[in-house]
Amino acid sequence: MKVPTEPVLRARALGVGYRDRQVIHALDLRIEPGSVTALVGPNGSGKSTLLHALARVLTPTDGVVELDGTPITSQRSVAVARRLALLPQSALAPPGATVTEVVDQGRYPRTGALGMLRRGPDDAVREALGLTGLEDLARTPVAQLSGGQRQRVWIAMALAQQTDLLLLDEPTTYLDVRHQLDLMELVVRLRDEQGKTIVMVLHDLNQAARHADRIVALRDGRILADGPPAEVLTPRVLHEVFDIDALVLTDPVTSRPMFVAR
Amino acid sequence: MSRLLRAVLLVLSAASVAVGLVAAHLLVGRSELSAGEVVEVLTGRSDHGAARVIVLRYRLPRVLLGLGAGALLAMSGVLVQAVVRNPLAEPATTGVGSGAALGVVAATMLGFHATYAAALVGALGAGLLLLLLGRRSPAVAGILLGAVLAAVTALLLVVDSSPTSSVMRWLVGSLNARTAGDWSALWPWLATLPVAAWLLAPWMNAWALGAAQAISLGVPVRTTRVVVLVVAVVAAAVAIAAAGAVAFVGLVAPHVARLLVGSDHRLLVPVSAALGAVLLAGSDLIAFSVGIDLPGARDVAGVPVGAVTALLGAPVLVHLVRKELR
Amino acid sequence: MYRSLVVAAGAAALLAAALLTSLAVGAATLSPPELLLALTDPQHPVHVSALHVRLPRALLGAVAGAGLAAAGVLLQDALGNPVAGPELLGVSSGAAVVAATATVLHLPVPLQVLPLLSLAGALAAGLVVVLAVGPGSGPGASTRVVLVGAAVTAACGGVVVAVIGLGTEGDVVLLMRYLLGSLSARGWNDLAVVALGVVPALLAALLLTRSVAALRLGDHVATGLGVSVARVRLMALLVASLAAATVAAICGPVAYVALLAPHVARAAAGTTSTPLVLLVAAPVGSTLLVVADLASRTAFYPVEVPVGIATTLVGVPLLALLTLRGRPA
Repeated sequence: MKVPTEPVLRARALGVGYRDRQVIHALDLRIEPGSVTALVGPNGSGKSTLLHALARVLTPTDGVVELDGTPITSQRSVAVARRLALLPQSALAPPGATVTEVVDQGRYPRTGALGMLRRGPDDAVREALGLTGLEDLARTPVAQLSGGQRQRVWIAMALAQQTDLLLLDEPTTYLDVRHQLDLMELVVRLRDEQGKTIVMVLHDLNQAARHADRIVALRDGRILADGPPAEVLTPRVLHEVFDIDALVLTDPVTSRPMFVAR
Repeated sequence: MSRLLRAVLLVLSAASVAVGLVAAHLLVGRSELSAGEVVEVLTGRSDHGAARVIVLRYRLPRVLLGLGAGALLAMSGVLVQAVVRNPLAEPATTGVGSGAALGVVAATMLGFHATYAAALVGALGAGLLLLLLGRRSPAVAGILLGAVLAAVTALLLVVDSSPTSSVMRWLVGSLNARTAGDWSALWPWLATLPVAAWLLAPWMNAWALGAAQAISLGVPVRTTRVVVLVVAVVAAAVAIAAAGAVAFVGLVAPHVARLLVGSDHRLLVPVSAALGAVLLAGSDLIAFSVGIDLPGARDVAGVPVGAVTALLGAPVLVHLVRKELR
Repeated sequence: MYRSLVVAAGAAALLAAALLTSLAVGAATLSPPELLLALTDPQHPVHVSALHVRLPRALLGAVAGAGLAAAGVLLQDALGNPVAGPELLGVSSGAAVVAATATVLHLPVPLQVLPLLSLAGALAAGLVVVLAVGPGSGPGASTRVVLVGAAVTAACGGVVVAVIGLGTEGDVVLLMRYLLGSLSARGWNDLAVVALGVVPALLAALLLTRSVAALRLGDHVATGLGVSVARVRLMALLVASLAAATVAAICGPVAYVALLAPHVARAAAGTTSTPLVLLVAAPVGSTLLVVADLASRTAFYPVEVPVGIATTLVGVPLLALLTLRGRPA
């Protein structure tokens, strides 16, 4: 059992909405340092919206998001970018840019306006390319990559930001099984070796159960269940959150819970 | 109120505004003519020679040209926008106007002075080029074609600047110093092209749903595109030969028409044409009235109607595109 | 990186050559030693022509070309649109309207203030188009820019023709300058005014490049990197407008240099990274404009052609390639 620590990221009475539609309602959430949290929920449950609000890409309509105890919107955006990196779901590859050029953008928060005068990709960029297995593609234009390779480029860019906090929006989309597994193992390794804190939106519940320390299940902008996989992945929660009848088994490899729909 | 009823009312009220515009144009000008004198000329009972020339040779043709060219430009706008499925496309910027200007400059340099014919040949030539080059993206191709033709025109003007003032009216659009001859060249087109456009309306309605839908509805897609574009280009060419490349009429009139009667081309074509006619003749009245008292504004130079439509059209354009974005 | 620096140095060398040629060629063509003599010796027969006509004109081309190129880089990358350029966003013609009005109607505006007034016109026209088109990217956005920009440019052209028609009975020289852009009959004063606007704009552009480069990744990613998206985009538009408006106030809306230079730079340097592209595009833009000006005053000698014609005839085919062909995603 972990000792409760100060949360690195915290939402207090958070409300987020678009012009005429409130997506998140009075939501409270504490993210502990060094943990891997998975946000799950049906389509339209607000999990991506929540992630974007946590990353200050969306401005809350009510309540506040705190990073290290101070409201995230009151901090300089570049300062936040040194603490927290976001991998959005559909990122734009600029036409013609190479893999290294895109990943190098992750260094933005740590280089000044004249960062262009640097000699080339620095160690952080090279490390990020290594961790995502992109060394051989470093000089390839992003436009020529497959969907899965492109996704790894965006992950590498987030890693190059060298932040303690990583917010990933459906990072395994577009990836084949091999690379999904690689990515999840990378996430766990980043937590274990570098003490990073990871919050990710996942669609695959079994993946969440297998790799996350904690699962937060949302529906209609509210948290319906929150806890270790064993507590969240239960027939009752699956029914309440996803409207499915499921059988919950124990994964013979990891001893974590896994579900099969009836 | 049903859309059909609304369209009929709109066309009728545009027609009555047009009658008012004709009356105003006949009465306004440098020479003072009373309403009585004008009526006498129109009913053929006048023996005042100068009044007959002013009314029948200058004022009446000018307002009729404005109405006719406005209707054709607006109609052409509807057709071009239908083909490219983009309400921002504009016949005046399709290069047809630059073609007309180039025709005039080239003809003048070669020693011909039949400027209307030269403008028409240039406009149709540019239209033909557009049909050949811009099959995939006619709107953008038209703008690029226009830029090149305008540059070539300017190049010729550098070598011989004598046609400058007369060519300007095709570049910007102006109804100053048009005469009865211009009208007699325009009206046959005015009698035929709108009918053709209206007959194409069902095809355009199908095409608006997307190529796949149109095909499954049994519409000959390729023919539709080519025929609609040909009618659009010819309408723009004859209108621009008459009035010059007046900007925004082909953009504003269809837009307002769409707001009022929706996107059914059977209603859109006549309503746009009616609005375009009133818009151009009305703007011309403004341009003419403003120009009368200005020192530099002679008949040929004057205030071009294109400058007035530009000022009226810019806010509509902004509104139009902002709405598109939503 | 190294390739970009080499290409930038090459472009600078080309620029130097173009400047020298431009100085040497004219009514009297001079050899390099003669040229030096003409510039330094007040007794030399072409001294005045070389020092007060050719030299400021060549330098004006270089400065204006660099400013236009920087405007093109900023706009294209900040709006994520390969055909965003001051000539297509109406920025140049908006500025030309104001400059033409002030010049033709003899409004009591000092030459140094004219660019600032033009900037207002440029921003007005540019904001219309940018607000209308929005920050989206993709081929649809390019088409929207071209269509809306053409309408705004047509409107501005109408006003310029009307103004010139009212003022001076169709003065061809003014017409050519404010409709097409021309470097003819510009002296040291004009150069000073353009430099006063372009040099700060270039410096500001350099400082903005890192943030603008991040915008190319999309608004969410850029925000995630700590970029204030709206502010950077606005700054880019402002700086680009400053450069384009200053040039347009003095030389008219010279088209396609701003559009062309960044694309040439990207192709030559083999990179799309905003800072490197800017570095290369500036000398490329200068060279383009100096060469185009040289061509337009010698091609039909002794008649001078507005430089805008030359740049249009070169630029349009490229624009056609960019918008009509499918672009890589």
